[in-house]
Amino acid sequence: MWRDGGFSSPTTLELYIPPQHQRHKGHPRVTPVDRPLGVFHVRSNRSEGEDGQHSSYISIPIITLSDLECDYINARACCSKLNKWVIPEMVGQCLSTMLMLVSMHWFIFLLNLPIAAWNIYRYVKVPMGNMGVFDPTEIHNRGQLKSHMKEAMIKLGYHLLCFFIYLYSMILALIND
Amino acid sequence: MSSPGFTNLNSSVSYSQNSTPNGGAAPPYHNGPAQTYQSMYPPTGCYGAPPQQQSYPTIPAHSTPAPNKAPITNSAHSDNYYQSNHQQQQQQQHHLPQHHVAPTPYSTPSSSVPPSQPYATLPSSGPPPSNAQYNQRQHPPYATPGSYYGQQPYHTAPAQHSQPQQQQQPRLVPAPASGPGAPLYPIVSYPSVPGTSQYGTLSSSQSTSTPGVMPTHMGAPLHPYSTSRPASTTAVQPGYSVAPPSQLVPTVNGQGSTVHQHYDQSHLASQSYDSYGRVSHSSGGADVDRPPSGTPSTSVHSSPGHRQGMQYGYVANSGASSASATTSGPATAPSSSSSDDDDDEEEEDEEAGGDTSSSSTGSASPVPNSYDSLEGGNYPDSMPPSNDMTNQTAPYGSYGYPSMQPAYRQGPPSHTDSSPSHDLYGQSSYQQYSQPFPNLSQLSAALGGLSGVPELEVEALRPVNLLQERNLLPPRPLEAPEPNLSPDLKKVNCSPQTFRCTLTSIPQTQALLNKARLPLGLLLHPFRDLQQLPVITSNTIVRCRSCRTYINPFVTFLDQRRWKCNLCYRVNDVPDEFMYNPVTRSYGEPHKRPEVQNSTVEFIASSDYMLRPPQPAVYLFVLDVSHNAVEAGYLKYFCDSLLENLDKLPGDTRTRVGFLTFDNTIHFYNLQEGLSQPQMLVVSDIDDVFIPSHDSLMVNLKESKELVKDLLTSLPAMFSQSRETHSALGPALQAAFKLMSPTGGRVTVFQTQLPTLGAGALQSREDPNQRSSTKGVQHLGPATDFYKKLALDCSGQQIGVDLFLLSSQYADLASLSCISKYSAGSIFYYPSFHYIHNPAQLEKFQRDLERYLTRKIGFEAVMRIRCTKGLSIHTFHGNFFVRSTDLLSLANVNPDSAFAVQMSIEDSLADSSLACFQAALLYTSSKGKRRIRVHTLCLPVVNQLSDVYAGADVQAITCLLANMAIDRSISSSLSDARDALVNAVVDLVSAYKSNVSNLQQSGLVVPAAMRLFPVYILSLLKQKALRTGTSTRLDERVFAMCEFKTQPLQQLMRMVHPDLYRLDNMSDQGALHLNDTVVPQPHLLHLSAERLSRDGAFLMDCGYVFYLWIGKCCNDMFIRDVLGCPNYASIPPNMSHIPELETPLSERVRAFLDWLQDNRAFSSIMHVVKDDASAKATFFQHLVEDRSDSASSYYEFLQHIQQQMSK
Repeated sequence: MWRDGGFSSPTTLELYIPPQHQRHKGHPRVTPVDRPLGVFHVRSNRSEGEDGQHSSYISIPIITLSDLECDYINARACCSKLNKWVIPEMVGQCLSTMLMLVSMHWFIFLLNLPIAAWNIYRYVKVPMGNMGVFDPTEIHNRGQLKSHMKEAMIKLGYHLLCFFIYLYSMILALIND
Repeated sequence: MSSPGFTNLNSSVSYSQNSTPNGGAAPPYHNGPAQTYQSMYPPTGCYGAPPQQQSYPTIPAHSTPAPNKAPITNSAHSDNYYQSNHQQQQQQQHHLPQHHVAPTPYSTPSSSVPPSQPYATLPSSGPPPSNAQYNQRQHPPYATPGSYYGQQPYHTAPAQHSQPQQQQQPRLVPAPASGPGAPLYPIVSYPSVPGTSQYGTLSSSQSTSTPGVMPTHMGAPLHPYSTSRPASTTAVQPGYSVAPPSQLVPTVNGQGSTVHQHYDQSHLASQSYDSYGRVSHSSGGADVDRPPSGTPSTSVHSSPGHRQGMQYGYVANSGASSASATTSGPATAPSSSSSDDDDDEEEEDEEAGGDTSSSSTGSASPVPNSYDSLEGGNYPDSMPPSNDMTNQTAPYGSYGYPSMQPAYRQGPPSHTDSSPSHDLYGQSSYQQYSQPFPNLSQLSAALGGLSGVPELEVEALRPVNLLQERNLLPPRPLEAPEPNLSPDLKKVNCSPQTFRCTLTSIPQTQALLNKARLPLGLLLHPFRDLQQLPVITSNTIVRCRSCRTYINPFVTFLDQRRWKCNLCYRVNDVPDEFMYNPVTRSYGEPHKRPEVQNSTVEFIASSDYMLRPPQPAVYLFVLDVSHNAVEAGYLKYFCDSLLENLDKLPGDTRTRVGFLTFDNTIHFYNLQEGLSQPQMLVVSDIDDVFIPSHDSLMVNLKESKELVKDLLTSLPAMFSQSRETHSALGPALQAAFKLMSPTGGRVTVFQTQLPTLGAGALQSREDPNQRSSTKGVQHLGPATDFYKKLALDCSGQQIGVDLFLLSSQYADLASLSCISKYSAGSIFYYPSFHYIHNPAQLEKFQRDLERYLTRKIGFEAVMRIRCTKGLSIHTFHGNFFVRSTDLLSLANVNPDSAFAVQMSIEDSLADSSLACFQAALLYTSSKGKRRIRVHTLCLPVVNQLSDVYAGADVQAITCLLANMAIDRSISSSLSDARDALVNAVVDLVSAYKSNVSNLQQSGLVVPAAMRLFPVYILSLLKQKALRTGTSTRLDERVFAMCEFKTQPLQQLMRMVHPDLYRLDNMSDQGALHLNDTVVPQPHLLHLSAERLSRDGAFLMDCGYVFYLWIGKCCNDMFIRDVLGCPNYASIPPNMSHIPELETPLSERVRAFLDWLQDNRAFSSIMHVVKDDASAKATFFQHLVEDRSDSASSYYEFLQHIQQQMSK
C-alpha cells in the first residue's frame, strides 16, 4: 500500500493534506476550475472532429501537463504518458502532411508542414541521456513545464483552425458534388 | 494544558539539563554523574553530543556512541571555542543585533537558536540611554575595545580592563531586563531549557502524555567533528551533562538579579569565560585573565540570573572547555568545578523559576545578545562598526583597505602589529582607542545615535572603481550580508549558513529584478549539522490551512486566537494546544511558543506524516572486485574503515546491512544469523538479474555482526587473484535495487572502471587529444538514460545511491553520476587512485569514508520549499528528483549536500514589506523517527534598485550563477556558459552605471557590495568545470560540475576562490585564544603571484586541499621549526603533512590549520609545495588573478568587460 503512495499518489509524503484543501500551496497556477473547462472543450472538439488522428493527441498534453501543475500526478508518470504520444503524433502529422502533398492540396500541405517539421525537430534534439521529449528530471526546471504547456496550447489552436478549414472544404466538396 | 502537562514539563525541564547533552537519553545523569564526569571528560561529552540528534530521546544510551561523526577532535573544540570567545567579546563591546545573522561563518550552526531571544531586548529602549545604545548598535568605539580586549593579555593588565566593563555591564542590565523587549521574546530560555526538557520527556514515558509542545534543544548535537574521540562514547555522556548545565543556568535567569547577570556576562565575555571552561583559554593565552576569572565565575553561579545567551555560549563552550580541561590539567579544575556548581544551582533554579516564567523571560532577553555574539554572528558585525569609527560612511569596505594594505604588503609583521585582535575591527581604530579605553562608554553613547543599518547600506552602495582599487579583499573571509530588517526579525532569522538568498533585499517586481540584472535564488543547506536545534513534540503541528506553511516566527498574531500566514496571508485559528506554552508553563501566549521563537525548528511528526511505518536504517554496499579494483587496492581500506566504524553507522537495533560484489558476475553474501561463515552466492546471469535469496542477504547488523566482521576481514583476500577485467555495474545496480526496494535505504557503490557488461554498459567517449581544446567540450551529458531511469526507480522506492568512483581511466562519470544525481546521493571521485602510488588520494579516501560512514543520514525524505505569494521557483539545482513544482524527493538526505533554487517574481510583492521562504524537510531519522526540520527565512522587499544592490550577496550570486552555468554547459555548450558568465558581469556593471550610479566616472564602477563579483566570476571561468584551453580530463570536469551542484556555499567559495595566507610571519596580534592554544589570524591575500614572496611561506586553503607553498629563500627557521627539515633543499618533494613539532612556531601553524579545518565535514589534505617543484603548477593554477596560458589575468578580464560594455 505504501508503495503505491510513494510515487504515484498525488498527495505527497511530506504533507498530509486534508481533503478539502488538497490543492494549492502558496500560489495556485491552474485553478481546478480551469482545467475541467479546458478539457471539456477539447474533448467535445475532438469527438466531433473528422480528423480523428489529429485531435486525439492534442488534448492529452494539456490534460496531463495541467495535472502535473496541480500536483495530481507526479513528474515520472506524466512524462511517460506524454512520451508515449510523441512518436504517434509525429508520425501522424507527417503522414497527413504527405497525404496532402500527394493529393495536391497545396494550401493545407503548407499549413501542416511547419508543425510536422517542429515535431521532428523536437524529437531529434532530445539529448542522449534524456528519457524522451519530456524528461521527468527536467520538466520542472527552467520553466519547461510552462513552455510545454504553451506549445500544447498553440497546437490546440492550430488544430482547431485546421478542423474548421477541413470542415469548410468538406462542405465545399459536398456542395460541389 | 492542565496540571499533568505541567508536571511533566517540570520534570522534563529539570532533566533537560542533563539529559539533553546525552541526547535526551537520560535524565538520571544530571547531578551527580555529570559533575564528576565533567571534570574528567568534559570535552568529549560536548562533542559526543552532536551526533545525538539522530539518536533522539528514545534511545539514550545507545545513541551516544553511535552518533559520533567526526574524527577531528582538537580542531573542533578549538573552533567552538573560538566562536564563543570571539563572540562574547564582541558582544559586549558592540553587539549588533542586525548583524548577528550574517556573521556566522564559524559559529553558524548554533545561530539557529539564538535569534529567538536576543532581539527582543535590544530593540526595546533601555532606560539608561547610553547603555541602551550600546546594546543596540554596535558602536565603533566598542568594537575597538573588543579588539583591545583580545590583546589584553599581552599588552595590559587584563584585570583592569575587565573591571571597567563589568561596571558598564551592570548598567546595561537593567535596561534589557526591564525593557519591553523581554516580554516579547520571553522564551529566550526556551531553546536550551525546553529542548532539554523535551528530551527528558521523550525519553521518559511522559512523552506521550505531554500535551504541549516541548521545544528541545538538542544540545550541540551535530558537531560532526566533535566526535573524533573514540573515548567519546563513554565520555560523551558526561560531557553532555556538562553542557546542559550551562544551559540550565540561563533558564534560571528570571529570578536572578539583573545586575549580577550582566556582571557575569561581561566577565565571561571579556575574560575568557573562565567560569565555563573558558579557563582553558586563559591557560593558553594569558595568565593575567585568570585571577579575575575565578571571581567572575563564582559570581556567575551564584547569581541566578544568567543570561541565556550565556547559556548557549556555554553549550558550545562547554565542549570546548571540557576539551581544554583534558588538555590543561590545572586550568580545567576550576572550570569544571564551576560548572558542577552550575548544575546544582540550575536545577534548583529551574524548579523555582519555572513558575515565574514572566520574570525569567524578562531577564532572559538580554541574553540573546550575548547569544548572538556567541554564535559567531559577531564576525561580520564587528567589521562594520569598526570602520565606522574611522570613517563613518564606510563601515565595511575598501575604504579602510587602502591604508591597511600597504602595510600588509610591505611588512607583514608590521601589519600584524597594527591590527587589533580581530582583523575585522578597524585596525586604525584599535590604536586610537586602546588608550582612551575608559572613555569607551562615553564614545559609545555619542555614537549611539548613528544607526548601523543605513551606514551599512551606504557602504554597500559605495561605488567602487575596479580599475583603480586593487585591494578588494577583506582581511578575513567574507561573511553573508545582513538583511535590512528590524532587529526583532533579524534576531530570529534563519542562519545564513542554512538558508541564503542571493538578494537580501527582494525586489518588488520582476521588472525591478530584471533591471538589476542579478539572479534571484536561494541556497539551502537544510540538513546541515547543527549545534543546537529546538525539537518540538506536539500532537498538532500548526500549519496554515491553505498553503500548509508551518507556523514560524514571521507570522502575525491578530489576536490570541488567530494568526495570519506570512506566505499566503490567510488567517488561521490558533489551536488550543498551541495556546499553552510548555516552557513558561503559561497559557494564552502562543507567540512565545518555540515554533514562533525560532526560525529553525524540528518537529517530531505524527503518523499523519507517514505513508508507511518509518523504515529502519538499511545500508547496502556494492563493491567492484574486478581486476582493476584489485589493482587499485581500495577494497582493503574500505573494509578496514567499515570494520572500524561498524558501530558508528547511524541506526538503531533494526539497522540492516548487506554486501554485494561484482565483476562480470554478481556475488551476493548470505549473512543469515546462525551460519558459521558468510556464504557467497554467485549470479552469473547478468541479463536477467534475480535475487537468489530474499531474506538472508540484508541482515540485521546487530544479530549478524560477527558474520559481517568475518566477511569484511576475508573480503580483500577473496578477490586478490581476480583476473576478470569486465565490470557489470548496471546489473549489479539492478540487483541492488531489487534487494533494497522492500525497505529503501542507502546503496553505496564503489566503481573503478567503465562498466562494460550488461545493461548500462558504456563506451569510452573521451578523446584525450581534445582535452585542452578551446572549442566546445563534448559529452558532458549522459550517454544513456539507463542510470537516470534506474535512479528514478530507486528514488521511488526511497533508495539513495552514493557513488565512489576510484578510477584512473575514463569511466564516464557523466553517465554514472546520474545514478546518484536523481536519487539524492552523493558522488565522490578519486582520480588516479592507487593505494601505493597515490598516498594523497588514499588518505583522502580514508578520511572521506570515515565521515561518510558515520555522518547523519535521513531516509525517505522530501523537502518542500514554499515562498511568499508572488514568488515562484522555476529551477532547482542539486541532487534530488523534483517531484512536483515545489517538492523535492530525497531518498536519502545527508548533512553535506546543499541545494539551490532559482526564483522569479510572478506577482508584484507591493502589498507586503517582507518576503519569506520556508524549507520543510520531512525525513526518517536513523532511529526510525519521523521528523520535520523547518527553516524559515525572512527578507525585506524593496522597490529601489539601489536597495537591491545594497543587499546583494556576492557569494551567493556567484554560486547560483555557477549552477546556472553548469546547466547551460550541459544543455547548450561550454562556451555558451562561459559567455553567459562574462555577460553577467557586463550586465551588472552597465545596469549599475545606467540606473544607480550618478557619478559620471569612467571605468568599471560597481557597488561595494559587489566589488568582488568580477574576481569571483573570473575564478569560476578558471575552474576545472568551466575552463577551456587547459588540459582537463572529462571525468574531472564532470566531477567538478557535480561538486558545484551539491557543495554548500562556503566550501564552494573556498574551491572557487581559495583563501591565501602568509604563514611565516604570523604574529599573535589579533590571534584567537582557544583552549590553551593561540590561533593566529593572518590576513587574506589576493590570489596573485605578486603577493607571494620568495622569502615567505604561504598557505592556500582550497576547501579540500591545503597547499603550503615554500619560497626559495624562506627562512630556515620556519622550515626547521614547522617542517622539520634543516633547510629548503632537504624538503621532500611529496610532503603531505605537517610534522608535530614542539616548537612554538609549529604549534601556531598547526593551531591555525586545525582551526581552519574545524567547520568542515571532510577534512582537507595538505600538500607542501616547493617553489621549484613541478607541483608548483598545481599551486599556481589557483592564483586566479594572474594570467595563465589560456586565461586572462584579472586586469585583462576587467578590460575585456569594459570593451564589452562599450560595444
